[in-house]
Amino acid sequence: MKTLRVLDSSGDRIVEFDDTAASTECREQAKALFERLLAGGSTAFKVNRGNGIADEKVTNFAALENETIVVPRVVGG
Amino acid sequence: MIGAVAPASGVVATLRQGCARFVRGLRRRVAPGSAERAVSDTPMRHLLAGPPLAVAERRARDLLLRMLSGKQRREFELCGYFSVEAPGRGRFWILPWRSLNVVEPVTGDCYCGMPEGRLPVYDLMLAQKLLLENDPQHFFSVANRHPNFALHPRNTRPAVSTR
Repeated sequence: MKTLRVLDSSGDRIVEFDDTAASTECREQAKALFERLLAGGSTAFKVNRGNGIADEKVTNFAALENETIVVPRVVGG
Repeated sequence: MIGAVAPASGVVATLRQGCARFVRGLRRRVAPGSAERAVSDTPMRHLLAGPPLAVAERRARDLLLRMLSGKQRREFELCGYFSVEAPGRGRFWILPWRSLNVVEPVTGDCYCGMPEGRLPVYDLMLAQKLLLENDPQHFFSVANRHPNFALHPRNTRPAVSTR
């Protein structure tokens, strides 16, 4: 199961999906959300990758791993 | 570093004390049962828009703690802030408040770059950590920089009531 965490006012919103045939609809919804968020200026990072592997920015839905955090568009304060 | 000025120890101490006061307030808000307390009379009510915020802060804090490295977690639990290494830019502190909370300790420069929307403070810190460590060019391209901001005593965080 892969997890997409979108940071928001509630802390974060979780979308879960996997690569099985049974999860096709969830995966398509997650992909649409991911692409919409990135098109709107959000940034996504692969996190919690295990074995000490560093977090990494990701822009391709197919490259998502177990856990991804999506940060809303960043603006100067 | 040429022209770099080390912050005066007194200023750093004031920053840390302000940080500690802020963190004590946050810890009270995320403590079990705090979600049920009214927040309308808190001195931090401008940061507490929305009744479920204590729940959100607790959730965000749990996520942040899970994402920090061991060293960052120890630093955060001890001091209320943590350090990150931004590739090519050096070390920065991420302090637990909403504006001008990314500090370059060597120069005292403060940066303000935050995600849109009213995120819990701990989500804001997590977002800044991820950006600084993995996409610093993006962070610094949008963040506003205030040179030597932390070196001016009048700019350090005022005391927060801890009723």
